[in-house]
Amino acid sequence: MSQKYLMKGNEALAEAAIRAHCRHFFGYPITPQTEVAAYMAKRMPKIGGTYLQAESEVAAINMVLGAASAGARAMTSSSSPGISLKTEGISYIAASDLPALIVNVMRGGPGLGGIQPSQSDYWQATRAPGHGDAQLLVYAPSSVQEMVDLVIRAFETGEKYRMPAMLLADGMLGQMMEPVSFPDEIAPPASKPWALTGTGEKRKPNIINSLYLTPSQLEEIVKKRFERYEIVKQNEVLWDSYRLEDAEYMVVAYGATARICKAAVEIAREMGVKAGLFRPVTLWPYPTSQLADCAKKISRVLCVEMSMGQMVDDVRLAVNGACPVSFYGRTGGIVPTPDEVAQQIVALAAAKA
Amino acid sequence: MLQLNEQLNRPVVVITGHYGSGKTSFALSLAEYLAGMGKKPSLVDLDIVNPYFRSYDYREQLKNCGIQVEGPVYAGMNLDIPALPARIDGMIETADENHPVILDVGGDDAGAAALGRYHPVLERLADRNRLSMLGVVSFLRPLTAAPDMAVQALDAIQIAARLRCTGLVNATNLAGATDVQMVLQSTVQAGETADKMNLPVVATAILPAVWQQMTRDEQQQIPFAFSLTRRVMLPWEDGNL
Repeated sequence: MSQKYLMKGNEALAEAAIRAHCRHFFGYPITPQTEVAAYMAKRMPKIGGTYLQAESEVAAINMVLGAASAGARAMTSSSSPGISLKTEGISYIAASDLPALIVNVMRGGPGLGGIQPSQSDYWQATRAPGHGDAQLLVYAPSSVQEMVDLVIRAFETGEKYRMPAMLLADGMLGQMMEPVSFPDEIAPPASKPWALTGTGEKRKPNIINSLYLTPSQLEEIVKKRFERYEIVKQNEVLWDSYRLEDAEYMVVAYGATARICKAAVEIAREMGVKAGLFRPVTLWPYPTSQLADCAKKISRVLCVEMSMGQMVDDVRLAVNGACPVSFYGRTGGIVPTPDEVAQQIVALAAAKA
Repeated sequence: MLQLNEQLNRPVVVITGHYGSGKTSFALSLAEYLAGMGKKPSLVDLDIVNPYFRSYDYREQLKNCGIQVEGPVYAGMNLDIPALPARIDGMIETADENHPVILDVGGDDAGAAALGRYHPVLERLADRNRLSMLGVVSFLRPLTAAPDMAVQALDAIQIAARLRCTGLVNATNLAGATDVQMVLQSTVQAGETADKMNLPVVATAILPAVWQQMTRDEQQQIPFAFSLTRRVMLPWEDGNL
């Protein structure tokens, strides 16, 4: 790590992708992630890369599918409504066992919704990032620096398991500025013997495909893929915690909301309530057993999201009735304040007493 | 700490620069400073590029200090439409020493394009030295990290605006993590940029906390130090920075 810069989350993730040897960006502008495309448009031509503004989100994700088939480290970026348009292509990429990075800087929904931050695409990212039995690696940064670190990890992990990865950020992370630094050196991608690079008449042609007309063959392929998902669940879970050591009350939050909750934990503690924070960094695979372990020493759990309550499903599955789980959320582009969350924590403590 | 360059005192001050260089924070602080001198300044949010963190967001706060804020018709709403009200034309036309107008322009050449509409009146004012066009630079932004990169960004802005910069504002910062060394180093870089463009540095925007950490010798190296109030706070940050 060397020189520090002041950067927007959107710019930082774009620069991180470039430093991680990504030379193919296909996108379509949408607020609040437009700076990703704007930054790529400025930088890519100077370094021999491709920035292409497609005619639509559907076209952009299929360009990623094509570039990934040829073994390129490729990415696309959008915000909520644009991601909905990309889901068919994401499913094809998952079904073709291709690595690629998809960035979602979430805004208020449903529909066109609004342009302020939200976290209401959690279900879409973790449950149904497209049709069919498939998963994405889902990374949820909570700082501009983590945008950088997780973009690099998303490319590397996606390629390791040959699966698409999503960086799930929100409009606040995309727009806010923080100091960041970049690793001095990032290893170039490993060779991809499966890629469509031309046989040179020296080997049999590689085939990238997602269409299987024989049900038994399709079942076999999907099952094999799910065996790989099990390995991912074992090895790739990331999470973080704050002041959980002596906590009686555990707040669970991800992304920018986790930063707000961290401040709320401090306020609650000043008011005499022993609170702590559990922060999933990977949303798929979810830190289920880690959260369950932490919940053992806790009397109440509060899940906080910028949505009507989506991750709270996974929190309840993990806690599995060990203690009551309640939810607090704001939606439509409203960002909860630390005081607001602290009040919820204190109310929880009062209800127990 | 303040020694106001004549350029900040003109009837119309146009503030341009690379995206994220600190234009809005400087524009807000300048408006407050001029109001503190007993003037009746207006601040025009001319940002048609990015709907976030804009001077229009601070209009209530500024109104209390006697500063009129004008901006795009739909600023502050979900509607992302770059329409500018005709009132702005009138404000520029009638600006004088006691009623200065600060134009807070959007980032880069894309943002500076908004100035095109006001070109005839702005050019006339520039010819009579009644307008200053300031290029804000920050050397801790990756696309303007060195003097030649800053010159490139400002050249593109001047072409889009069809106006020449009259001075530079060094606003180099790392938000709350800004330190003395960064400011001193950027002073040298700003000087080099100014030399390359044959322009003066008319202000160095600096947080009071950083200024206070400087020795007297260091303070004397800073051209036209201008006290900046940090505005853009994240929800979890302490407002007392």
